[in-house]
Amino acid sequence: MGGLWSIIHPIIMITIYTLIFSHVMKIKIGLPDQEPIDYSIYLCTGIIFWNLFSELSTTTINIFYHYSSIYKKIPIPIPVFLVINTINSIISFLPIFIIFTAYLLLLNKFPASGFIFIIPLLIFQIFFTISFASILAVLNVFNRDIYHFYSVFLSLLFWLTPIVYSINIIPSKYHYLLALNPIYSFIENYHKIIVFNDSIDFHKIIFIFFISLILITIFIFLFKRLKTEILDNV
Amino acid sequence: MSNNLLIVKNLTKSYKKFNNKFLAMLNVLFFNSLKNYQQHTVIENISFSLKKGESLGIVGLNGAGKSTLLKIISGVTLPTSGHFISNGTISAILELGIGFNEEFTGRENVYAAPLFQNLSKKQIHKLSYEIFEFSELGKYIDEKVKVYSSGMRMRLAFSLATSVSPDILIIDEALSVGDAYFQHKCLERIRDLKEKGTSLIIVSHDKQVILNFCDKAILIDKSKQKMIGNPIKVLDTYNALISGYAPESFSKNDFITKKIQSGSKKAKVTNLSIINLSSIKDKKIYVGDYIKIVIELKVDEIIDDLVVGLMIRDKYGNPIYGTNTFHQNIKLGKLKKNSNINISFSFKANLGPMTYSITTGLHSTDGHLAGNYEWTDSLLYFKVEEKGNFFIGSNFLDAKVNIDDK
Repeated sequence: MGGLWSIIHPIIMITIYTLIFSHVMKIKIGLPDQEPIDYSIYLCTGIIFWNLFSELSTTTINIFYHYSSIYKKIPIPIPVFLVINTINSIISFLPIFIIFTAYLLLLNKFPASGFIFIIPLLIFQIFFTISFASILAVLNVFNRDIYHFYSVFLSLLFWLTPIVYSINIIPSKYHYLLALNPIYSFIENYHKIIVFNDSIDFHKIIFIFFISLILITIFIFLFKRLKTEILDNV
Repeated sequence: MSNNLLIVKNLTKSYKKFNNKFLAMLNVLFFNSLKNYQQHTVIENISFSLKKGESLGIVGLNGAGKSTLLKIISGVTLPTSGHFISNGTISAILELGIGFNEEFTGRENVYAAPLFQNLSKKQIHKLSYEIFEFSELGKYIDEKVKVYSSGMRMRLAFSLATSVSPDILIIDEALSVGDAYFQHKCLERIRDLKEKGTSLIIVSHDKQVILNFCDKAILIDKSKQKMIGNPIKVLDTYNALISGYAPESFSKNDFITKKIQSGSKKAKVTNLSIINLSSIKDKKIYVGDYIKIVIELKVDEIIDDLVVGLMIRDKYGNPIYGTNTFHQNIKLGKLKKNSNINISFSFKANLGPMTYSITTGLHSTDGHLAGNYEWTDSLLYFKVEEKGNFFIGSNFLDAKVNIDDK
């Protein structure tokens, strides 16, 4: 069935979250007049963008090993694979995103006003993901435990990010801790656009963008210094 | 300068090895500036140049650094120091692959080949047809590469790499995998490319391939460039290297294989040498030459009944001939402490052209297990070469052939 899976998977996911979760788990997400379907949208929004983050970061960390059979046989500049891998991730993200958008249109919940802001947010999110994951990728060449450690860390981070639950269940004195979770800054904004019809908080995003710039500069420098070592150790 | 296609200068490759993963990671965090690593040098100061159309053979024992050199020239490994300049396109078949995607079929791999990135669709179509023809993979061309045998991979890789005439074609051992039929086809294709002006860089253990295609050769031994020049001369030195002696000397200090030794060491072989009685000048041994094997030994304790034995084995380890002083009815008598004696075995080397190893045994009575003083396997290697009369086998029986009856 090949490509059909990339459509079936999100449809099943959205259906499950709609039918089961929004009825079984009656979580208040903070909307004044919350319908059961709203939690489903909240959940889907978080998970879709989280999955992009999780998929892109894990594949990026493993990038030097994943493409080694090619660049060890043909001389190709290795950073090309960072681009290829990112494009791959975006391509597998698109069907899910399009189906989710269709689902919103179907429910008449399409956030017409803020929808366009999803695109810059996505770009910043992807840029941030690549910037830190590529540094971990260099480390992973020398110790493959990094990859496994990151996978464990990621499942922990998932539950530390308000995706399944709402920020309201966390006592407000701990809210400042969430600021330390950069991926939440993105998820929070997607929630604002899609679920709450709220305006975006770009401050944190710009801050993260500068962090990403620094990280990617570090990566470029690291890669230049360690290119030979990377080729020798993979 | 302009007529040089490839210039390789002082190419050195060494690998850094850190004691543990954490030091290696720390080195990353310190931008590769940690110094407490061990260095493992694979090739050292390799220099050569190649003119357009000139071909180079690289010979050397396993692990000498041949493949590393090719990897550097083809750009998939970076050198530690030194540099190379190439003024042409390079196509390489390294270790039986040119980066196939395992999940793609042979056909898809050909269409997606990076080699073709600058060609038009039409050209690719035409070339790919030729590739399918040449590789003769039949219906397997539409199977995924992961189900290919190593021979099939090699067929496709070779067909692909040679489909466009590169300026330099690098072939690393690839030919040894194919079956006899395809090997012939490959050699023909290589000859073709060479005539069209492609320079070849070949690593091969097949002497004939080097002699037939290469204008010069490099011998790499223990990471270093031992010799460069005429392929015949280089191969001679290489052969000497594998047979365990350099042409200039027969001393046992030159052997390369680890000897296997046992015994109480009451008596020891101190030196073993071969003297060619038929020709003192020529250091080679030819079929039918008279040779003398001299065993110099030292006795460390008083021994009453020393027996000195010698065995010659062929390269497969089969005993060819063995005898000892007991069977030859030679009594050595009572030997004093610290005495030195030389025992020699002289015979006509009616042996087939091959390399042979010499095993020596020093023991008390016949049957070396009773009192084994020293037993050394493969103490020295020597090579017997063909002279004139061709024959096969390990024994030169010197048959006289007559027509007895009509």
